[in-house]
Amino acid sequence: MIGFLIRRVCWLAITLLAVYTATFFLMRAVPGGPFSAERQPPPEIREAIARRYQLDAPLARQYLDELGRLMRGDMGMSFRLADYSVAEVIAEGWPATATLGAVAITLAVLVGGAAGLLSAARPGGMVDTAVRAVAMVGISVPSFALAGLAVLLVVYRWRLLPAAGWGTLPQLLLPAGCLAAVYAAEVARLVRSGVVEALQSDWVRTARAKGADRKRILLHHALRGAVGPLVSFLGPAIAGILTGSVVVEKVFAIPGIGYHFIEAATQRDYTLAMGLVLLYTLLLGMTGILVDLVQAALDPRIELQR
Amino acid sequence: MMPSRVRDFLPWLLLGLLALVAGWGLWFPAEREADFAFINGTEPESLDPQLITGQPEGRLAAALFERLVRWDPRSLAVIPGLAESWEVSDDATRYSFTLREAVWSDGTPLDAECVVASWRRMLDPATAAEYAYQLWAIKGARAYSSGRIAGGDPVEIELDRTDPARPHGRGPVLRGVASWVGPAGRLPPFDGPPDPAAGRSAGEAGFFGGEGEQARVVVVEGVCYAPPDHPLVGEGRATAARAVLPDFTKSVGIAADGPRRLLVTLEHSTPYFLHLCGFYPLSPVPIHVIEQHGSPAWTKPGTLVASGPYRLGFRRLRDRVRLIRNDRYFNAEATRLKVVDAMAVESAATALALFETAAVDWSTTLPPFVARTLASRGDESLRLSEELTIGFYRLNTTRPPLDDARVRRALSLALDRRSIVDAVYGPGEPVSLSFVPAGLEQATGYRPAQTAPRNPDEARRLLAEAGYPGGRGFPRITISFNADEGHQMVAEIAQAQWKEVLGIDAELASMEWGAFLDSQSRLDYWVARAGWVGDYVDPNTFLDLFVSGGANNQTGFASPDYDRLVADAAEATDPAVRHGLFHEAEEILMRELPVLPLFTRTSKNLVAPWVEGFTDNPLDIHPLDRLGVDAAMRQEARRRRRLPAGRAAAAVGVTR
Repeated sequence: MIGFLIRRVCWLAITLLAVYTATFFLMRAVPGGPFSAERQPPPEIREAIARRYQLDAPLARQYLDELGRLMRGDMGMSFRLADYSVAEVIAEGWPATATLGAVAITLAVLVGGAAGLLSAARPGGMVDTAVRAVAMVGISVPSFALAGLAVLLVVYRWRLLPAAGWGTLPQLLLPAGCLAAVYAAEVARLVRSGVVEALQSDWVRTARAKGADRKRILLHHALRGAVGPLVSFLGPAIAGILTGSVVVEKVFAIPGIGYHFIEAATQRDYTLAMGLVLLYTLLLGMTGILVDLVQAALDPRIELQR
Repeated sequence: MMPSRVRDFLPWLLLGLLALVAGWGLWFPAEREADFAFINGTEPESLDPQLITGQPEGRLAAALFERLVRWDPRSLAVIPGLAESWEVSDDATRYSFTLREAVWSDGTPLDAECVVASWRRMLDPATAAEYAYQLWAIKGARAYSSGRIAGGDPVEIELDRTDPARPHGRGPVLRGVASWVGPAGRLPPFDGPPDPAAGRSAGEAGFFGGEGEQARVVVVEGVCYAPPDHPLVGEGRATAARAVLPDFTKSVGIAADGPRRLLVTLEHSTPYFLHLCGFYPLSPVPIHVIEQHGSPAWTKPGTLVASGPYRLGFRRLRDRVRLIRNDRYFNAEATRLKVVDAMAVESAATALALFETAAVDWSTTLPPFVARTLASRGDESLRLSEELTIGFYRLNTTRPPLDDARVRRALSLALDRRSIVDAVYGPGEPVSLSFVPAGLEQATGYRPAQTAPRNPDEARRLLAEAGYPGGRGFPRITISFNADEGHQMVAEIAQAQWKEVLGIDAELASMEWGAFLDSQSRLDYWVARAGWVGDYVDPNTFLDLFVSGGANNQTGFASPDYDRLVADAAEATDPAVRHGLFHEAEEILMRELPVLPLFTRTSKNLVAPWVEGFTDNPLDIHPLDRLGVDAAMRQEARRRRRLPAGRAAAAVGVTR
């Protein structure tokens, strides 16, 4: 297992370097810069700004300087949120994104899992058809449409919940619900197919032959069949949800890092965009490793080889 | 392999962990509700008034930092701010401001020295203030902010040493006359008297530009100064210095005469200078705090010290900036709202939802096309005011056939501006046939020069004369714009009108913002959508765009006559003469048409019925200290999440 970890961490480091290099050059290849604006200041001032942010140095020099800084763990100052360092931006946005994401994932696993299980209990039954239909809709409807609909009904029509913002429990409900819906649908499908497949397996037939009741078979024996695919799905899903949902954070004005991501890219905030891209890579890599470890713990047939 | 009980337990452990994270995050600190909340638009770039350029930032800076003068939101006249009174010399080049006895919110006096130090900081190239050029009307300011020096100039040397009492202040400053400036490679021998002529390479920037051996060094009174990492410093042959700039005290026309008198000398008379002194980038900043904490650390809550009607409560990125009444402000009794939240909400649809559910009292943004709907319903929350803003098309005059003025005129004459504006922005929105918005006349008396209105026959005649009868042989041109529904609609209508009247084919290019700006500055476009907001209330802020080679010209247009008229107007002191010169210049612009003015824009605010003291004006300024609320009405609406009855509900544009 130690060997496995070392290998994976090395690969992650190489991936990070590759992502850094690609991001660095792609960002600078895109036309426009962090300080291009409709209103161009006089050349003297443009020079002063370029000097201050070291944008006047040769590209290779900038590449190495920034790499050196990142190696020391310094992500630099944000270009377009000038009062903040990249680390501060992430530290401020993280709790909101993580809270929203954790609530949404928890909701998704509970609701989606229950629905999938009910659906698998009688494949082809009414419940199954309904769950599958709803799940299909949940997967296909983009979250901005769902969020728009939710705002229209819950906020405008019924005036039940606040329209947007962050800081109180009611403000969390709508965005968490919208974010959870997509994941819940996916979880329901995974759990259903996992359980249905397990129900046809030899060991479930054996359990049934030994006289286990339906409830025990479903919860104790068949549900395990769904855990593997679920964990594989949840790994990247958690990484994704922790870096924030761009749409939901924008629609509900949630001060999370998902929104910084898009803004940093469109505003050419080189340092902030780089910090967030690397963070996302790191998270994805680490959850990948974690998922493999958990899979191995859950299923003794899996060996940590590669 | 793990024991099976651990395996059974693992999924539950994961779920439990998730729930724990959720629970941890759900612990929200209780905060006092604000007396007033408004949608401030995008997240402010900074709270440092010298580093910002946008409107959301400007609203905050105006609340936190007092300027020398203020603009009255009703009359737009200049009224006293930090300066109680001022005198202007007869030739209008010397200003003497008398400051009131003001203090920062930490009790430190705000005196004339502080204004001088603030403006010096703004001009310092190391600050890299984008709006530094707003001070360039002042004598010597431009040279100082570009840091250009040559042999023979009086200079100030900032040594590379830190004063422990002011860890982020400037190093010790020495003054003297530079005898030699240039790269170390060309450094003359030190023995013998310095020869000023030897180093008189025209205008070289202090230490900037060049690294290592190539970096410039400066010889002042026999001592050689070089950047701290320069090899000469290592060899002990030069003294380490952070910067060498023109001597501020000798070359720049900003000085304090005692604690309460500020003396400013201009390069030449600048009629709008007084007005500029009310512009937020020119606010004095708390130098004593900046030198203590450094930049940007001084802008943090708990550290930031204010001089305006409000101080900083807290700031949460992409959420809000909380402002609390500054009781040390000289006019604190007149400030009615105690706690104000400036909400950073990017999405206009979300802003509308917050306003409609009475969660905010004022919204500065509106989704596209919603204003049209609200206006047609007679919604009283919608406040429209014509702005000093022009929406126009740039034409690339370096690209044939757009290099032919007849072609450009034909394009203009073929446009029906009224139908464009009616279709896109709604009836009643103003069109413009001049580049300077008509709204400026009310404030300054300047009458803009207009181009001819729609005339299809004349348009066709001009195009034929230019060699493209009926559009035959005319290349396919492109109208480019940054991705936006409104810009797209304008371009579609212009495309149709040009096709119909002139037989010209134009294609549309919707571009990403950065790429769009880049294409304009590289003159890589045919026709490009543009907008310009006046910086100050004077025709110069619009007309100096198109002087030859101007950074914001971006059309390739160059006319010596135009340049001369704009330059003469800058020197003229008599308002009538000055306006005459500007008018003549604009006539050239409207004849040559490197730009097609289309419409002036209106500011659109949503203001709740309980808000008091909100004045519509063309600068779209609404000082928070002038506002108040009917608290009972506000409370009732917030409880019901509904604006008071009798008002047309507006659940529109939500999905946009």
